[in-house]
Amino acid sequence: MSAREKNKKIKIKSELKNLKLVRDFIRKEAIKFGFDEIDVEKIILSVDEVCTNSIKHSYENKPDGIIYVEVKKSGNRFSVVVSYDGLPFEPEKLKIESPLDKFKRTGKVKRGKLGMFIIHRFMDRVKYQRKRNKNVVILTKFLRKDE
Amino acid sequence: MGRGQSEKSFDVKVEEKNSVKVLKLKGYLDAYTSLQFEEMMRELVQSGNYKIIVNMKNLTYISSAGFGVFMAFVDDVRKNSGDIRFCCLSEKIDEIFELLGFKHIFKVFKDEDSAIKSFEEQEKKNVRKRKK
Repeated sequence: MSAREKNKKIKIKSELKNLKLVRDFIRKEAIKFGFDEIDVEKIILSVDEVCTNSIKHSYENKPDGIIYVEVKKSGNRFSVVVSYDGLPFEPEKLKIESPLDKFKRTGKVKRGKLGMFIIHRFMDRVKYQRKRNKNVVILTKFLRKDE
Repeated sequence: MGRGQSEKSFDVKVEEKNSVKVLKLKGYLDAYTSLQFEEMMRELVQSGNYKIIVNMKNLTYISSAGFGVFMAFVDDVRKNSGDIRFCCLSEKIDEIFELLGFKHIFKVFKDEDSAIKSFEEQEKKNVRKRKK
């Protein structure tokens, strides 16, 4: 298989209604790679959360931004590279806590930063980069041999 | 939903059973569709509906924005002796609930009748407490 066949890419405009296009694309690629239904769901959710964050925070809900979503497959490694312009994303400033821990600690149910928790809970590796004024988020999941 | 099958959009039907509002969700609940759903939930809670069951039988997908809608209102309804309870989760969504720890924050039931009964039993307990 050539490198071109291994990598697939789509681009969407920064509108929330386009999230479904990304999910459909990721679902197709993750199933083709051999993930089970639950892992497919975890990957879809994580990519959805990154795209949602980029639309809401980096593009501040302005619809004229562009988001690229690329799938890279190598061996048992399935990576999704999400890149977008807009305001820089600074993950180190965020404290990621599970909703249950937050609930136990405060006695209150709070929804903030749930997307970030999902991304880190469901992917094997999460990498953030800032490249030439672009935000690049790389989400990786490994296909286990028993799948 | 079968593997690879495309998702349909989102819709909610509201029914009332024994003074409990049952919301039947259909389609997907993401950052886009949850905007409208949050308004609906706000109206429901602000007009005094505190006992809510969310039937997820026909829900194909839920993201943090969807969960966020329930998280935004659950403390309010609990303060008013109500709750938001869930039933009929697909295997996939059930697993997500489990992995995110939501089964320790929300009550989840296999079917709608059990969810309705749980509110009835809670009401009976409250009446007994008040008598004491």
